Amino acid sequence: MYQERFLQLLSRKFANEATIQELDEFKRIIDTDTNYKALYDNLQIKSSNNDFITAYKANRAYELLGKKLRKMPQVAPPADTYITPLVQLKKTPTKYYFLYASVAAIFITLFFTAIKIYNSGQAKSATLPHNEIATLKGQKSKILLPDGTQVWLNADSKISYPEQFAADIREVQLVGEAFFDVAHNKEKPFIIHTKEMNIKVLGTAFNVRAYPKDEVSEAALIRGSIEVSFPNRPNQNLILKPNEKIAVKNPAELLPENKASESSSNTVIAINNISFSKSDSTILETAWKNGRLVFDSKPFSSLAEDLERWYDVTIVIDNAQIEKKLFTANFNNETIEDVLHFLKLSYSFNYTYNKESKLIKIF
Amino acid sequence: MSHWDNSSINKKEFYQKLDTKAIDIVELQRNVALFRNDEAFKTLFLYFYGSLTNFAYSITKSEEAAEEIYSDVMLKIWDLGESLQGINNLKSYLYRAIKNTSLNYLEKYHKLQSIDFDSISIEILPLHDADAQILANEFNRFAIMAIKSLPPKCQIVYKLIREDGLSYKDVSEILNISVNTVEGHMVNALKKLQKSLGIFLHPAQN
Repeated sequence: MYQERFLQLLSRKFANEATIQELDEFKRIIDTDTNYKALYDNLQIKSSNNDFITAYKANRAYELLGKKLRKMPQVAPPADTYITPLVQLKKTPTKYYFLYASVAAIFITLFFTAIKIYNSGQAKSATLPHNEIATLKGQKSKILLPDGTQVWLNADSKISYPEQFAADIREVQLVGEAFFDVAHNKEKPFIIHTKEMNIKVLGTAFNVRAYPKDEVSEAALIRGSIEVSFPNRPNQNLILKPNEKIAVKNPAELLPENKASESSSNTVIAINNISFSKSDSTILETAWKNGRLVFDSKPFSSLAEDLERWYDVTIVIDNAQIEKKLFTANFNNETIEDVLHFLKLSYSFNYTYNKESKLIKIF
Repeated sequence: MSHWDNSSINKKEFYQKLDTKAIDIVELQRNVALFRNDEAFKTLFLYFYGSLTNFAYSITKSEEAAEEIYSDVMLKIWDLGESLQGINNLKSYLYRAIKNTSLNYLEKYHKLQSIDFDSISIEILPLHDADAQILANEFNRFAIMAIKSLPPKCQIVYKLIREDGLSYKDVSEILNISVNTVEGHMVNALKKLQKSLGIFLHPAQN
């Protein structure tokens, strides 16, 4: 029985199917039983498909195929989507006519937003044409800005930026979550405007999380330095050092009722260190960028919001006890059902999932 | 090694291009689907070439046919255009496409009537890499032989999971067997390997 179980665990480990608990169990066995450890160690070898001769053949086969590919007509990007280009599109107005038409509504909204923002002193930029890129729930995107800055946009987020940055400043607007790797340019500071804070940088990498529904907005700095200012408190600028993050409480009137009532604490701005995953010391704040969904002592109620964005589902919680329970977990490309299954293992709850309506009820 | 020296191929470059972990299939898929990006397509083509021609070979037993089948399938992927975006798990999709095209090939050229995937003996292509074989110690060679002598179903399941990095669910879809059966074959393969490698597995050897 014991051997069967070990082989089952080994099989799951090789197939990346093992749960956290099973990996623990697996580790316990190979730590205590040298025979099993030897089997595991020795099965690490693979007869690889990707040797040199295969590589040579692959390139040759592609050359043969390449001739056929070139005969294919070039196709314009689809008309009915404003999901991101991975690299910024070159401007070819005729082809993207429909694309433009379909996002016209968004540009109008943006226009008013722009007026609102630039009234506060940046009037000259308002006339420049803007791009807006939005992700739907369940989507992520990578964007290259005109200055070479790279932006990873998480689900249900929106970034807008001018087609060409002004001569002396680079400004973007963000709603939602994004990771920025800002192209260095001392002469032209890069400023990210969110509802609760403005972040000014010279050249650096950091994560911004500013979902209107969240209790706090956050900026986590990976390298470089950033200066944070607050639209509502003109004289309170803060400088953030690497591995620090800042959290700003969102105003209560924007939050759903149940949360607003809990926001009794008076702390409005807090600086903490960024968090590292205990198992492999990846940075939790930016794990999403690599397709990982990570929670570190996160209450179920706010974890549910992350799941809603990540999987494009609606979650209704009808269980007062679970809302405040804290969960720590690390998911890599799991389905929503797997995620719920794993969460259920650490704290028991019931749920129903209607695949068609994408509605999940927790009770 | 010496017979490669007079070719202009940069070995390191190929290894980089074929690094099995370094590519983001979903992003490349989107680039091909929406922007007809042939660099992205090339990366996918080179990435899957080894494992998928190998898979096609294991069904058709012909290297030429395997290569042709792979190119045909990839060309179809390119021709899909925007609808390529609709494919949820490209890797698993490609394995299934290769399987079906390979079975069609057998029907057409070997006049085999209604082929059942189960009845086809799977055979894994011999290891090419001269370097690897020279470097491999006695144990490695023995282990590879042991893998090759597994029963066909065990062998293909072991290969798809261990070497091609597929999940239980992928394998179950590709081979039309249940997830439990996939695990059963995998456990069985490991059990047999443990047995045939037994004499080498004495921990004292390390």
